[in-house]
Amino acid sequence: MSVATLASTPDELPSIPWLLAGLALLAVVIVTLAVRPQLFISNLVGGLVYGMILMMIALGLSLILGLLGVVNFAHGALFMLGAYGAYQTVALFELPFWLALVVVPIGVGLLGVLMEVTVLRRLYGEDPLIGLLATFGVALMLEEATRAQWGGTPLSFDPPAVLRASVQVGFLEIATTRLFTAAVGALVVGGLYVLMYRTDFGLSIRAGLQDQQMAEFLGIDIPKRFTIVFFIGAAIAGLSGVLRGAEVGMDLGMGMDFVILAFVVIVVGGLGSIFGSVVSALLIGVAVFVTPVMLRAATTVAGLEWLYVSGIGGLMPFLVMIGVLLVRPRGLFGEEGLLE
Amino acid sequence: MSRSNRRQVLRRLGGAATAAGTFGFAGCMGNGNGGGNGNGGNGNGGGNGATTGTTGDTLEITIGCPTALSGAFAPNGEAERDGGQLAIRHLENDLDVSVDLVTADTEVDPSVAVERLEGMVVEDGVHAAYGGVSSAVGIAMGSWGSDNRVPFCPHGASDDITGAECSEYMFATYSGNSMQASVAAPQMAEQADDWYILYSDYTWGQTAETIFTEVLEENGSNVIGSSAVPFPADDYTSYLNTAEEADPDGIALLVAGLDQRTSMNQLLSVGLEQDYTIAMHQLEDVNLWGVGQEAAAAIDVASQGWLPSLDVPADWISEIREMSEHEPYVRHYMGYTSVDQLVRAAVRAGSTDGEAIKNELEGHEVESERVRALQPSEESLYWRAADHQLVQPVYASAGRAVEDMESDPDRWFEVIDRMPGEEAAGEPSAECEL
Repeated sequence: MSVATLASTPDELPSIPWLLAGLALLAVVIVTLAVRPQLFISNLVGGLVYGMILMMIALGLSLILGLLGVVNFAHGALFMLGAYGAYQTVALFELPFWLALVVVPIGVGLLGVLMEVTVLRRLYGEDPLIGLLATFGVALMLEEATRAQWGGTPLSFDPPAVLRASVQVGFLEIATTRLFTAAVGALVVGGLYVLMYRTDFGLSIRAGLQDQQMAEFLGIDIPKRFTIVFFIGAAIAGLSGVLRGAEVGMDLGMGMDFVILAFVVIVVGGLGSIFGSVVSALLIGVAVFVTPVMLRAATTVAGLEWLYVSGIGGLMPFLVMIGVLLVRPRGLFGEEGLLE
Repeated sequence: MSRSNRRQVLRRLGGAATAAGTFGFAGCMGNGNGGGNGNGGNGNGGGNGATTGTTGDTLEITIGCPTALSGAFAPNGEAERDGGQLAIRHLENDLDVSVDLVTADTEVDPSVAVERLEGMVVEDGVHAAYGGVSSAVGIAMGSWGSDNRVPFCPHGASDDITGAECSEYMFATYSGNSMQASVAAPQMAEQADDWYILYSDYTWGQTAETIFTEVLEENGSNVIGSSAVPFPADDYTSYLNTAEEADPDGIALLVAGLDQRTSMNQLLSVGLEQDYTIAMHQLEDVNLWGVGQEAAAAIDVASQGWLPSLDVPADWISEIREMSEHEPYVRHYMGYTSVDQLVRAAVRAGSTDGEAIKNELEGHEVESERVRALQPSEESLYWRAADHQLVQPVYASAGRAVEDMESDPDRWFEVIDRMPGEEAAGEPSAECEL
């Protein structure tokens, strides 16, 4: 295990290839701004918002992986449970969405605690593959339990009116639910930073990760702190699920769909780096949204439309991952030794 | 694989008596799939090699339902299974037949699906099968079925099922991509001049994009742009931005599965439905139940293979509700029709032999009053011999106003046009050689 970092910089980047790549990118951005300015800006903003949504989903996964060294494959299931919990609260119990936003993440966090205490606690220090398999099994159980409770039909609930509207920013029309998710994501990142780097609790967690035995000699209850970290990670997954459920509804496949993207985000950001996950999510979000526009503009201007790759946006998370790993195998902000 | 056991007691009682009288032990086709397992002497001719499976005069037949029972397509697979179960209830009431249903989860993987179907035939003695939510899965099973003389009804809508990939024992219950497009595109052309198309970037979506472009242009509209969207996609915002930038009059969503829900939800979240005519292809109601009535109301034109808003027997609707956790929709209809037709073909043939069932279905005009009641029209429904398409009407529908849905919550869509099957199906594909 290794200490998660919120602030570290990649070193020894190859300067000339990066410079050339940067210049080429700049040229394409200028061309795109000249040819399709409105679409470029719409998608840039949309990509940043999408990146914040991805970040919210990846953050809990990154926290648990970075701090506890557990590849939590059940993260997607916890995310899904957040959405279904919100459905239960808002649609079936007819309670306010704002209450669901608070209560459901706590409930999912407590489920995460149960999972940590009963399954994962005995796996710390073991091969990460064992934790991955264990959490995969938990994910299957949670998915089937969800099917048993709520059925397989896709569901939805009505979010508050304010989240069903959109706001006009210049020529941009942005759904308030997406802006709200982005704002909540920013708050969660800020809160995590303060918790881990500005409190005694965070200090004790990091001490325990550096030398668990010594920390326990000093009277720190490390297992309890790890459980709290797992609670936080699971609760963030639940919170992301509530927000996603409010935006597009819920179905049994939503967890698996997003957990794959979340893994891509943390691999690109660097295993163990929460800051890396933030940067990576924003990078991937923007890449997914603006690459098709830029490629279309560039190929149109160059008269090489046959070079345009249909559906390139969906490939971008994986192309970004391949590109980053080729240049920097541990990810943008990954630490040497973590899970290696 | 799970098996429904309702007939087991009867079969055990009749087992000894029927062992001698069972004709189904012979007839192995030599294909290695093992006919003649007899299911412990219960008279069930196994594999696909049985010539008959009877208990006294009762024909016994085992139907397989390999379909998606996990993951995002599970609601569709469950509906197909449930529709088939209702058909079995009706068939056992109407005819002297005993039907056993075996189900298995194919996920959405063609190789898994073939493995499941093979397992059903070899181990459970399945005589004919139906299911497979996606076309690729359905084609893979239909192809295997044709190699092994097991009649199979795939529930995908790709034109390839009755085109380049058609095969001898595969019978298409769902109206194909072109059939459904042919009824919706003229309606779209009536409502808007310039269209932008978003389509799922795989065979089904690509084919739909080509067909819609052709038919829209034939009807005087322009397709001013299109974007391929990876399937499945978790976010449609960038594609909707692109469509909006092109300044069309209408946006056509030729997207599949739960992407129908995601795209509609995100379209509604920025109010695009107020500025554009919205069309959706091969709409399956279940995908919009997860969004709400506003989403349905925003759809100006949708192509549908079947919809519960048709004037179908109320008993059928209530029976589906009783036995399925999903509201009735096209997948129930398909499951019901496939099982009804496969079993009736076996009854007509007096045999559970795959070839006999196939021969009975080929070119057959649907006589089943139960199925005909689900397609309320005078025109004939039939299995076209040239490509094994079930020739049946297709529908263009539109979302009803939310206030109308509130007073009649079971009907979210109303039919705005209906095209007879003969006209929608057109000529059989030259690529299909049976």
